[in-house]
Amino acid sequence: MRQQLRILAIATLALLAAACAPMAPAPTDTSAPVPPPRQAPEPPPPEVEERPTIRSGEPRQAPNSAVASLLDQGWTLYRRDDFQGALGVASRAQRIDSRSPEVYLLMASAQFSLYQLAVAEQVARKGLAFAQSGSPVSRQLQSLLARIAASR
Amino acid sequence: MARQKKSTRKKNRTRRPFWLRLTLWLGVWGLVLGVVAILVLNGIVRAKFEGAKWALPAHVYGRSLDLYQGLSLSANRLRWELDQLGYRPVATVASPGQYRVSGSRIELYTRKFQFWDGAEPARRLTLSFDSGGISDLKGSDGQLDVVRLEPMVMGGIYPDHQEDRVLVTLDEVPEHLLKGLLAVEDRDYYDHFGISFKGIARALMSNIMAGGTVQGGSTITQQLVKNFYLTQERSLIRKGVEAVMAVLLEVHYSKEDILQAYLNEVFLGQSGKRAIHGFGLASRHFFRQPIQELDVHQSALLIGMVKGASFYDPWRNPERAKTRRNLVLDVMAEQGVISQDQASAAKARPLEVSATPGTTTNAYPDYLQLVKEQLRREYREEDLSSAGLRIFTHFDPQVQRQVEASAATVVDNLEKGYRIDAGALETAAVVVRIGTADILALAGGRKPGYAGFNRAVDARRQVGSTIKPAVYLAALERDSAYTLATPIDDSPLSVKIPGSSVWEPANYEKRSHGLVPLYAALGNSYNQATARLGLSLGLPTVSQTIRRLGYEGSLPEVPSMLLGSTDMSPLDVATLYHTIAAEGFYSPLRTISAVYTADNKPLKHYPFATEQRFSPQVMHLLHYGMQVVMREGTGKGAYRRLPEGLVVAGKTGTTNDQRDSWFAGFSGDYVGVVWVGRDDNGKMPLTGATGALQVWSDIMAGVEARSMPFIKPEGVTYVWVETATGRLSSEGCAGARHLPFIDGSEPRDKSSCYRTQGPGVVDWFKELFER
Repeated sequence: MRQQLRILAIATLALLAAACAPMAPAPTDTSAPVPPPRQAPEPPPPEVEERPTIRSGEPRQAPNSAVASLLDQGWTLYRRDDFQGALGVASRAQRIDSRSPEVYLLMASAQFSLYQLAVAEQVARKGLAFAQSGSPVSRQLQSLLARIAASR
Repeated sequence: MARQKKSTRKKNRTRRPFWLRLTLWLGVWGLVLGVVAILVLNGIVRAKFEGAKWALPAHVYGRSLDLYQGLSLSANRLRWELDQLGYRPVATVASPGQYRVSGSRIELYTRKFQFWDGAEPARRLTLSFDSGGISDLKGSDGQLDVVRLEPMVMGGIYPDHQEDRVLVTLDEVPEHLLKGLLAVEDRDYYDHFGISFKGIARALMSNIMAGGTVQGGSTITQQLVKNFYLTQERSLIRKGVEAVMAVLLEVHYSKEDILQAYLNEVFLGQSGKRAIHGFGLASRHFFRQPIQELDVHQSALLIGMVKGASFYDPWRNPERAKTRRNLVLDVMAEQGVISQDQASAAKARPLEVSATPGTTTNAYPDYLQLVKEQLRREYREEDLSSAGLRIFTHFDPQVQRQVEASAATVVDNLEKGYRIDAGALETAAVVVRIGTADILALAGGRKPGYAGFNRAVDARRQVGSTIKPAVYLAALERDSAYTLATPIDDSPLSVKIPGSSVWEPANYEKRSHGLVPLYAALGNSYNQATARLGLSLGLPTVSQTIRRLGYEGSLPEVPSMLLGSTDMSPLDVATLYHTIAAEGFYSPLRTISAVYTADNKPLKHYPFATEQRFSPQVMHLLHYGMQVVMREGTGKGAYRRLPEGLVVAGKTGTTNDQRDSWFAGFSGDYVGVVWVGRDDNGKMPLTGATGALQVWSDIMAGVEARSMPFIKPEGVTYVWVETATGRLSSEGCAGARHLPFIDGSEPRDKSSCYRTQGPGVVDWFKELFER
């Protein structure tokens, strides 16, 4: 039993170390703000949050390649103004990792573009709950929330 | 002179015999009536053929399975899913719908599918598996990130006449099926105008030569007219009308249009009340395969069944069906559709029909009921049953399969183990994916597939202690007054109810425990402590908390509400617990993801929606308390089935006289709610722990649930507390426990052991994460 717990602890540390590893840079301009509805040439880029510091329990695993790939697809659809398509792809990503703030950023951005302000706000808040404070995705979600508030 | 001529004409007219005049009269009127009849028939032919030809049932799809590296899915589970979808195990994977298992790898050729949110192409994949699930996913061009399989049809909504069909176009139908059908049913199809005298003569000869009926006398067009427009009545008039309409059909429409309509119209079987029409559905029904994937021997069987679908039913009359199939194969070879060698090879093969029908109307009645209830609020009944809608749901056949298995076997074992009359117990269960709020599986009783009373949705029973997390949540939200370490009085109490008797709740084991820390009162489900806590908070506060968790039904504000006297359905409880599991974010539970028309135009999407109703900090504390239930309290029996290291949280529930046994809890992926009881509301020798928890833990073990991610949010601090006094303590001190507090609510009083070290602390939480 103790041996198993030690293995679990080592695995947890290994996951933490992996989670802290730098991620590939976002493919688009990271400073681009969340666009206003219907006028958005550039969507918020799918940045990856920095890893949290020490937390009790299991660290959240880095988004796997399936989620990253789906988010890429989703943002591509978003840029083409296919917001329903983007929501559909984001839902698939959510099923794989329902704690990914990047997934909620895409969902909230698509809902915002569909003028579903109340839904967009709550979905963004959910993403914020999973994002580390001060991380790029957290800033983007905050920015989106500000734009939602301004649109009301 | 003029008078003479007139007189002559009169004489001539009077000279015509009566029979001639009658014939002329009948002839003229016959001609008029004939023209009118043809015009009427022409109208009928065109109106039906050019409009919506059939009332198409709505088909309800389950979720699609996303395959990706890291997915916790064993090779066996994937094979089960592939078998359900009609994929065939083969030695060499060459075309869509085939797979090959080789050690810990599966080679797979997926099918293309038009999803509501896009098309998925057919792909060739190689999946590698290890103990954690899919370890590698490769396509023909290298590594793949994610691929999805087509969803299974989990049910349908049918028109009154119960005709079911899956429409196909000519280009989807294998050439050997088309040519074989024409060789057997209508060899001169492309040469006649709806009626073929030559064909009738040849069919007669063929049948004499074959010693049986291998060819029909009617053309394909006549058969279509008979099935599509007329009745099965056998009379000369009906035959005449059929011939006229066949010619009219040929005049107006192309051979291709008529053949395609025939392929979709022809009756090919009966499945209960449902009639199987068309080759598209027949292919799925008898072989679980789309029509494109049919082999020659399978096509021959379906062609043979045109002559008599019931007579040649391969499940009921396999030998007769095989003889007929082989006769068809002979005709196909004789007509050059296939070679003699191909025919011999096909005749040597068994029928290879699916062990069970590949299409069913209502294999999952309880889930389908929930889907239908929602649809009926939004669509007209005739649209649902005749417009061919495509309804995509979140139904997960793998989770449903486990729920059904656990419900059946564990309840059976409970009856045997507790010597309860066989069949006396019933159960209901709901499983929801955490975060997305998708209802994945639902069982309204212990018999899988039985369309009876849906207890998961419609049975409203007292929930007992499963309501207690709401009481403790209401307390923990007042962080200036309550923490997990706050001592709660578990002494007896009595409350005078105005206009009623005195309410005197007691603990299950009929003894009191004095002052207990709040987390222990929840973990051990102490009634007296909970009642005192709830009364001090106030009934409206607790009631409001239950509402914020998502309950919308009746909620009388009486003291017994604090111990779960409210009637709720398992689905209601699942809503409350999903809000808890989702860290305070309420989401309406969902069955449907999208509704599309038959030609894939969107009607409605049901996107994810949520609303933050509780802070992550207070939810972290509640999760801690509910983990205590599982590690030290009334839920610890779950670990007889679950792996020791699995982190789960939940709460048992038992009502007065043990009439209801509940368990609601969650892992990292799933919220599960289980109820066990008797339909007559009778007593049972079961508690929440000995009844529903057993079913719940069997489900969670079966679906290979992952640990809940118990992550400390910002604004929460862990400190060591002396549990007996609630004072600050230190690691290693006797009775010390590492507890989470909302920042600023930590105890200030220090125990004598504070900041000193002591040996031998036993704390499962610390053991689990800090060794």
